Amino acid sequence: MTFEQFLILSLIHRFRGERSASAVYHLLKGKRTAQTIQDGFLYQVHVYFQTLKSLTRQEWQALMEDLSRSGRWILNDGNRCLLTEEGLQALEAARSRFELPTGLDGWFYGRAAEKIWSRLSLLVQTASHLIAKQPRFLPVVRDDATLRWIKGYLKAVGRDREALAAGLYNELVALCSRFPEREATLLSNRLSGSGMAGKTIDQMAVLLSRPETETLLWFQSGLHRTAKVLTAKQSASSFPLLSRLAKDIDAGLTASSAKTYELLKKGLGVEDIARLRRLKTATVQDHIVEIAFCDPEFSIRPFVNESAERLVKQVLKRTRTRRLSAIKQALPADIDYFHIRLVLARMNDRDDVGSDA
Amino acid sequence: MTTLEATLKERFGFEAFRPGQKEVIEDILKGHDVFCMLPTGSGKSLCYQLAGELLGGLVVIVSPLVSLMEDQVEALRLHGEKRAAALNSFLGREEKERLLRSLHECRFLYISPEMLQSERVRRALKRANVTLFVVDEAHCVSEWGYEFRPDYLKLGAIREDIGRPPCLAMTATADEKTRADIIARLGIAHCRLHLYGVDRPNIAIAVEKMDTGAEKLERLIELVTNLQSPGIVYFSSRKAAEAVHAVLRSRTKVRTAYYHAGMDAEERLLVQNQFFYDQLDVVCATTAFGMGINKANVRYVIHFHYPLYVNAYLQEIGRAGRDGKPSVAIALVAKEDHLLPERLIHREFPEVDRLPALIRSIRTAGSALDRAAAEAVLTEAGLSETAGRFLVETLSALDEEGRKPLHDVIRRIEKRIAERKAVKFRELSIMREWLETTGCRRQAMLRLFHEEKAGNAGDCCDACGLDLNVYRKPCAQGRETPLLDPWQKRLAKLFGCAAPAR
Ligand SMILES: [Zn+2]
Repeated sequence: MTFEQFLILSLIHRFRGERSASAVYHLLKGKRTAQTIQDGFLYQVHVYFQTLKSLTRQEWQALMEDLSRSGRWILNDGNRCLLTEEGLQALEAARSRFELPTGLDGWFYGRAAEKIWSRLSLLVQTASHLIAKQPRFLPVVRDDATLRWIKGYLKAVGRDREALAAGLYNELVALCSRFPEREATLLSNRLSGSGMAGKTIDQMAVLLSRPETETLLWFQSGLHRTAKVLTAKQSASSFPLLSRLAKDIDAGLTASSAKTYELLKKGLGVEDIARLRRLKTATVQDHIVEIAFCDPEFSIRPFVNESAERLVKQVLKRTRTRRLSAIKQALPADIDYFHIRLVLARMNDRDDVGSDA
Repeated sequence: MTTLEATLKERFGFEAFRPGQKEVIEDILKGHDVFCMLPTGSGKSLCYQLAGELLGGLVVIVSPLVSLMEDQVEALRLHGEKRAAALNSFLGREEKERLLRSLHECRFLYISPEMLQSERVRRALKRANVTLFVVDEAHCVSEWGYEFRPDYLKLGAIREDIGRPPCLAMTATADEKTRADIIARLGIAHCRLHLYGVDRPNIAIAVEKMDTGAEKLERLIELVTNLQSPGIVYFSSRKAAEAVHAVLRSRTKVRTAYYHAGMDAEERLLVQNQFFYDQLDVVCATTAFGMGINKANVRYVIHFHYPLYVNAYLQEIGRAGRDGKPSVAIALVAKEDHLLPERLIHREFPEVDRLPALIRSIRTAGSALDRAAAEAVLTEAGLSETAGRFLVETLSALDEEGRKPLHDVIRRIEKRIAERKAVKFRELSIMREWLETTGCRRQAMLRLFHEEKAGNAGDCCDACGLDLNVYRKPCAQGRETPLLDPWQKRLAKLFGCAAPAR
């Protein structure tokens, strides 16, 4: 079994036969639709969102054909996809060979991580060339927005090159020492500097004797951790230089939800916002769910009290099904879909959602 | 004219012009339209770059490939020219607007032909002070050429539209018929011609034939192990490039990487930079590699699959020996390779019986779908990128003549495909004939361009007698396999160990 097959089987298994195979494809590709993201949270696989962005339709089809053929690991009728007994055994057997990283958080940090990484790699490359007194080099990032952004960054930071390099070095050491060894190795070796180009994922995979896609996931896990640390509100004190890289990265909200968010921040309630914006209450609630799904720092407490949240989590843990209507029926009448969706957006692996392991 | 040399020294750090450059620049500065044919690797782009520094205003360079544009912009930035920018459909809307608003701060604007179709862009160019209109890879204008791009046909009219600035048409290789075609299409009948031969005397040429692909692979391993690096090995498929790279990695000690357009942008740049910094001995690549790589010391180019066209072959071997030192180009040909080219040509076009469905799939969204999006829809439907681009370009050219019924459009496209395929098959047969030459290979190549071989400088080709030992590494000792640095060590290296721990 290849690592790609292992990953797909794991995800199909997580979907419990209640979703089609293309749900896995959209999740890995990172299709930003309401369905994909709700599924992501319902089945607790949102951390894999957008982790195989460059997967093509053709590659996916080839993978699925292999899985259906070789050993008949999956049953796929187009609408639903599930593991066969044989598939389940193969998956269990493969768990000792492959290792999934623990820091992935694709939905919340995938987008931010991408942006932070392009800024970070360009910044490190620039600083490295500056202390080597080589102002001319081939940048590893060629997009104009990032190049301009780094220029502005250097101006704003205003340190001389020695101080900048020393500061970056210290902060990167502090950052990497929080991460698993393998992730720190991948992040640091992919960075480029004076006279040394970073290594590709494929090259690092070979040097570590691990599968390429597994290595890609570990690298992303390191990136997501980086984004999580640097976007946290209190990061500025421990990472004065690096936390600036996470500035002005928006949460990826639709324009209308962003407006609702602004009003929420000013202290307005759901009804106020609905009246002010001449929207239905349900629409404003949809916005709030979107905000909760997009911004991990957003608190759901004003909308769901603690005891309701506990109740929803208990039901999610108890019931095997992930159909929203069935979940609602198992709850008191005063808990509605709005509450359930908000709690979902705040679930994570530690809550151990009805895992059948 | 000493100012030219002074500018050359000051802006680009070169002591002297290479053949042709100075004459071309002088004619540009006099305000003539210029047609120039300079071989790959002879510093074509320096002509308009240096002229642009002296002309002032805005130099517009039309370039067919996004990657090519970016490489040029990078190269200019490396030389300290910050006022260079690229305008193509991959740029976000906001970026595009920002760039168009700040054209007056720009000295060199690289632009794709499809961006020039936009009214908004042309208006901005009309207002800007365009002092030179450069058509790079000008052979794309000609329907005789294998790289014909329908978009290029409109360049003549576009130049008129933006105020008829002087035009510089450049190409590395174009035979007589193609040259006349280019000049007519661009409307530069009174241009000054600067033609320099396609020959690169410091590159020795060899063709080696074997029976099977397996033999070829063994021979490649032998060559890559013994030849002086760095080198490039070209393949006609991404899969083959990756697979052979894996074999080289496990069976030799050379430092190898693969490169193709299917990799994401960052990975491609890392490989390019590793090659540039001599961290690699060999890159297993598709033709996507090398276009803008300004690496002077490439010692060999091996074709694991022969290119489909002589022009492509010349371009690719031209990436060797830009420093003028002896280099070698070796094409490995096995019998089974002859099955590939026809398939590749067919893949460059949409299948005729799928045309109705394909056209509908990009037209359902109406005119809302821009070209990049339309091409994405087509590649998702399984078309190759070239085929997708062909269909989108051809459709938009037809649309401009006015809306026609679908069956009419399909008939026209079918006809177009048949014509284009015929051109490509003709070019392919020329390439194959050349591979079969028994006499001097250089002579045969030059005759295709109506040129004669000028004397014998060093090794010529395997037919004239070629000693590959000349191109061996001094001693074939094994290199240590590189390891991943522990992160602490890597970070210290990146910051020159200069960082005092706080
Ligand atoms: Zn010869």
